[in-house]
Amino acid sequence: MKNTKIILSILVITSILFGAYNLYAAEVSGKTVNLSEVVSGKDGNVDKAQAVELVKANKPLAFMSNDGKLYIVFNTDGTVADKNLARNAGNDFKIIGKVHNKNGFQYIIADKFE
Amino acid sequence: MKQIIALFTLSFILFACGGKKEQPKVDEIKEEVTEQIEETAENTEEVVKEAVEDVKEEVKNIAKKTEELASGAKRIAQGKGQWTGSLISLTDFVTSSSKDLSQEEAVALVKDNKMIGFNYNGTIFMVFNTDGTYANKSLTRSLKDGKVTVKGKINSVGGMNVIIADEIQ
Repeated sequence: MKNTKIILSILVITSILFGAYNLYAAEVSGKTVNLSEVVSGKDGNVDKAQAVELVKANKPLAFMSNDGKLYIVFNTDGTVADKNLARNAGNDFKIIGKVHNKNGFQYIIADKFE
Repeated sequence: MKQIIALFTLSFILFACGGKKEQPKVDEIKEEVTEQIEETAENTEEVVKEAVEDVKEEVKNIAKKTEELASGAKRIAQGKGQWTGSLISLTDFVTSSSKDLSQEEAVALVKDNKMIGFNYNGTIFMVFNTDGTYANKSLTRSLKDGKVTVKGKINSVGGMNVIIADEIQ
């Protein structure tokens, strides 16, 4: 009976943790965009060379998902993931990470770029 | 001698009968234990299912609240106006709780090419100049006593709250 309670507790805790992780964990497909252009009403498409130049000039890049949502992407240490966005620019790619909308600010903490 | 044989025989009969009577009890106990295990397994499955449903429901509620917060921000945001707020480090904001920046802190972040956000009544905006460049420097330059006023137009671009600033004071 004692073992049953322990197993039950483990299962419930695991379920809660799994649910909590799934709250934010996601795989988002999209492309790198020039944030300044998107904000100005343009499509913001950039190829890899353009994206690298923007990073060098300290111009912000963003990630536009296939459903049209715009995200600022951060690495897990909190730094802006511009270099990873530039590396994948020009192609559709996936970001695996946690999607947040906190106080109206939309961002992704990226675990992996594919 | 006959008495001894009779005693042995009687003991054997009693032992044999006793053994036959015990067997069903063991079977009954086995059945009971099996039933209890099955019942416990069923109960466990039900409780786990209920717990998973509860977690899913809670996740939905949190997601709904998050959406409500986001939509609330959009309601504040739409249209022209002027807003006075504070500046925050976006890196601090996404990794932990952020505090309002002083001008010295904001200048140091801009020098390090870190992104700064504009906090108006708890809603975070990214502020751009009319030419589309990010207004990090203008915001920092105009920050006085931890506050800065932005005049312009608030938009929601792909769900992101942005201000196109005509003027930053």
